[in-house]
Amino acid sequence: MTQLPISYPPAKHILRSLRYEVEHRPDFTSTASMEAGPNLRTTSGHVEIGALATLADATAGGLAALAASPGWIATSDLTLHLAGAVNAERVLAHGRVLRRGNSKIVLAVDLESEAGASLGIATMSFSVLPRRDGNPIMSSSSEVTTHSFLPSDGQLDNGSVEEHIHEAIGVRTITDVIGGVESDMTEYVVNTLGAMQGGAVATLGAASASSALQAATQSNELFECVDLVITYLSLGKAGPIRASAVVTQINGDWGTARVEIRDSGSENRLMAVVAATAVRVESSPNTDGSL
Amino acid sequence: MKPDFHNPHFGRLVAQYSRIDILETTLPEGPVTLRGTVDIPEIFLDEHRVLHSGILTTLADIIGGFTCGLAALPLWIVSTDLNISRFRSAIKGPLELNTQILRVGKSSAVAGVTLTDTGSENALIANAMVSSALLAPPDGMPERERPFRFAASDPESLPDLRVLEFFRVTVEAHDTVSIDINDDLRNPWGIVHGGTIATLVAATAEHFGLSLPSSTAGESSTETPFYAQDTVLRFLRPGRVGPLIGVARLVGERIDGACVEVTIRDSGSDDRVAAEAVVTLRRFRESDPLRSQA
Repeated sequence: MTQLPISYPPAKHILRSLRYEVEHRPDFTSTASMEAGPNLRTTSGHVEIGALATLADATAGGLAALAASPGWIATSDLTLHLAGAVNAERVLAHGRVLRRGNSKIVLAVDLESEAGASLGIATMSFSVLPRRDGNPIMSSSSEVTTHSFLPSDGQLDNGSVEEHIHEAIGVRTITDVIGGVESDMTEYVVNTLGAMQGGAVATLGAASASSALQAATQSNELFECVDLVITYLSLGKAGPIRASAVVTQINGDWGTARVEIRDSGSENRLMAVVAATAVRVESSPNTDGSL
Repeated sequence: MKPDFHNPHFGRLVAQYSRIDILETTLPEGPVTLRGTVDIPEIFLDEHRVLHSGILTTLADIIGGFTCGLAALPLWIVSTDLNISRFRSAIKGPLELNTQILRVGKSSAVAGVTLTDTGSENALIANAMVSSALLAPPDGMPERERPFRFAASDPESLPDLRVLEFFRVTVEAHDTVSIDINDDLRNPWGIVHGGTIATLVAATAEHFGLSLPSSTAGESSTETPFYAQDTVLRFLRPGRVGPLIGVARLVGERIDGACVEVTIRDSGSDDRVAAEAVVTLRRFRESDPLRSQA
């Protein structure tokens, strides 16, 4: 089981791979950004939907934590619908609160390019929890607050090529399972509750769905997720965290899959269910985003 | 309008109109499970035998809500979030719905719903997740007999209206659709039924789809209509007065369809936002299930 680090996020963390920066405002809106470098791209050169889900989850999570203060929050669900394959080098996320209740907070995050093109929309709901020791202290919601989680803040060697997000998470294929992928619980994917971060769960879910659809078509063509609808049912703390998928539909250039994600170290408890839509893409040697 | 769970005729018409018949199938010591069956009337279908998207979501909301509610007893529930993914649009019927409670906490519950077409070799029609908040009705919940049963009404006793007529849907503009609320469209809490809101979301998104370019989703013709295939619906505040106004906004066009955001406002309650939805519209590409099996 991964212990919650003293300061969050730790030196090597998924948020730092995104070069995540955010500004939360007193009117309960936020603007965040990520740099979509080669480490956050698929083999076809598009931005990984798991990275976009992490951006959305972190943006909405920070905003929800402010809205819930002095309480704390846990993600109940996350939905992400892309307008299409994302090629932008920098992605902006604009968060807004849809409902601020005593036990639940609902938010939307609009994803845009720097030029203002719509890249997609995410919605999330968070349960409001009693504050516990170790939960980060949020600044007063009456002030503008900014955070930057950059690799240089931690102990990454800036001179080396940054690991791809899948390698950093430690995504492994389980060969005898449809859509079988797994990863260990590490500090890289931990959230403020000591469990797997919602964006990392989304990354596993997307990898599982894409793998299952590719296998179902018995081709070498790639499938990339454009929609993820994730219902979080329990925290994944022990690991390995394992995903498997059932293909629910294949229709020409796209397909859908239902993914179950379980914590194999906690009696194989069901952590999350993911409904994913993926589209067929052509593989490209370009991985620098210059499509 | 006040909640009334003790009057068997109050806030029940939407569930009765849906034709659903529900029987509890929970095993001893097991999680709550329900099975629903629906004899699909022609008024729910269009010329392609596609079940109206609003009714599909309404059915998931009703049986998912009962599943959460039974798991929450002695409290009861209101739906807070619903997502549904449709895999086949055209159906033969009857439909079967099976549910299972997936999580029950102190303040919320989640149920999974699977919908199959028994007339088409139990083909999977859709999967749904229904999340609910646990609440105590002010006058308490009436005793629920277990195993639970919600019996379908005699169809002759129900309004013989097509879906958009029953839900009083009016097109206002290419991106705007409204529902004029009456008491038939409420639930036992006295607020607008989740199925009513779901139907407004589907109607708004699908009407907006008519205005999309013919090239959307790689099709060269607009003769194949768009249907709401995936819907994420968040019930944010109770609909109380109406008319409810649904407004659609295009998020993006893709190879598989179009992604649309729908916002539902209660114009009689200071125009506050009652619900927010994201809908993936896809064009109809299936054969008629009656002809293909003949």
